[in-house]
Amino acid sequence: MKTIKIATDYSNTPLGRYLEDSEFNGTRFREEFLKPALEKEGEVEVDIDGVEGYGSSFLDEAFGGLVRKGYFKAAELHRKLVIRNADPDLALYRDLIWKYIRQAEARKAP
Amino acid sequence: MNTLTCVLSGTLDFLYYIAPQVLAVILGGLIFQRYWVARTNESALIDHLAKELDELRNDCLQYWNLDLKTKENRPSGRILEQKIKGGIRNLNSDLRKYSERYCKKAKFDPLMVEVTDACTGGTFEGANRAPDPGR
Repeated sequence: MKTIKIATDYSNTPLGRYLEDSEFNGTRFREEFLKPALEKEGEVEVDIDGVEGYGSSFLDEAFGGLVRKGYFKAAELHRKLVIRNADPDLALYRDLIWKYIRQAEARKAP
Repeated sequence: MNTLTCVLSGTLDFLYYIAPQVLAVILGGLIFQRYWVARTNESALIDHLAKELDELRNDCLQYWNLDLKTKENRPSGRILEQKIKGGIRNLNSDLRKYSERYCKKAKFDPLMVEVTDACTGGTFEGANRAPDPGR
């Protein structure tokens, strides 16, 4: 299982949705980190610790975008993706990630 | 000497009879004080949570009415973004402490998910975000 630790592998200040929003935006994280790892590895663990806080826009684009762009289905992500946090204050963001994945799937469904 | 023995014996008799009542009053006072302190602490924490929520609301109102297409608004926009994210983290942490201490059955997580989504969703942290008062 591949582990991506956002704070060290990407940035400890991820922000924004699109490429023009910041250097460490949600689109770039999805396209350069998440999608390749999920395609290559059976399971991917994303460690969300070490970041002060996430904007919903970043999380929605990075994780919900995987379903919206048609790369994966929500059920597939439930099997392949593990969101890990040791900091209890960040559990909220784990719930948000799954919410955006579910929402993206619901909006895609005819 | 005889008078002293009489007084001492009378005092001891008196104490013997009122001791249970005195003990009950002291115990009752202690229990009441503990309850009162716990209530005061809880109400102080609720006040603190309300203040945090109020600050978060003000920051969000200010942020979502700000036009980030204008160059001079961008620095204050970036500061507000950090304040909002920090405010959400503090509120979440304090709500968790409140829940652990005073009402274990209450689940604040779904509420905080909605609050976070409302405050930092959409075009939050967008480079050229137009004002979005509707949010």
